[in-house]
Amino acid sequence: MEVIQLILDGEAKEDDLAYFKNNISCCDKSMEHYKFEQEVRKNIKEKLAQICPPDNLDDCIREKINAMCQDPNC
Amino acid sequence: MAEAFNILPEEKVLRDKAFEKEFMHLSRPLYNFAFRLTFDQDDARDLVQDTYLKAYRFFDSFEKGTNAKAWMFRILKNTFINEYRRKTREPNKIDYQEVESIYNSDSVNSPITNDLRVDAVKDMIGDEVANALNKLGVDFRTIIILCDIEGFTYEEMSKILNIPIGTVRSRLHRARHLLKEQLLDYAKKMGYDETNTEKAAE
Repeated sequence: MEVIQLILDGEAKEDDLAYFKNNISCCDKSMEHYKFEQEVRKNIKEKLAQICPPDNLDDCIREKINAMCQDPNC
Repeated sequence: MAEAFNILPEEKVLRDKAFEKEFMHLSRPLYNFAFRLTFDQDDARDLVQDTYLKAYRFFDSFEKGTNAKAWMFRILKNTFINEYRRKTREPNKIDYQEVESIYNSDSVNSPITNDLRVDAVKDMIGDEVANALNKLGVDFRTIIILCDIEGFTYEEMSKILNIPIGTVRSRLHRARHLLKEQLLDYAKKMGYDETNTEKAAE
């Protein structure tokens, strides 16, 4: 299971990949688990749509930075 | 936030230009992260603004050419923990200590795939996934957002969260297991369980 996590996270080393390739083809459970984990990640990435920030967020940030720099207490 | 910050006008022009180039394109993912932590649009906006103000003040400590996104996410995460966490209106969540004791056992390694099928996950809508994620404690929620939504590496997450890479791995593993448990609840409500395999096969 841990090797599958590492592979899907792009963190697997060559040894992990070799182990995975040797075992995945002869183990239905591992393949099923791999597909399932892959689907969960895809689901999270695709379905948790990016939440749109307020239109003026960047301008507000710039204004606040300017206000901080112009603070008479500086 | 009205803390004093001394800077000469000519320095500010150069600083603004560099700051704009390095960080302003990150406001969208930062807002998304802030909203997933606070569950509130106003708090998320304030949290992002505070993050940018801190980044501007401490811009000199940012090493150009290093990971600007990870640096900003780290500031946001720390700001959230220090200033926002107490007032955040979180939904019912799983207690970290409680799950720590559960997941120190081997049960975390038992696959949940047998109960929760690929078909069920495919059929879930965004709200169900978001609700499942939101029910996780903030530490688990954060690591899934950083890894699966923002695509940070284990090393980057280690720096953002200030924890060893081994802890990143174990926390991520636990977070995913908890998330799958939440998704399993939804799947059962949808009729995808072991006793109703017909629907899953449709």
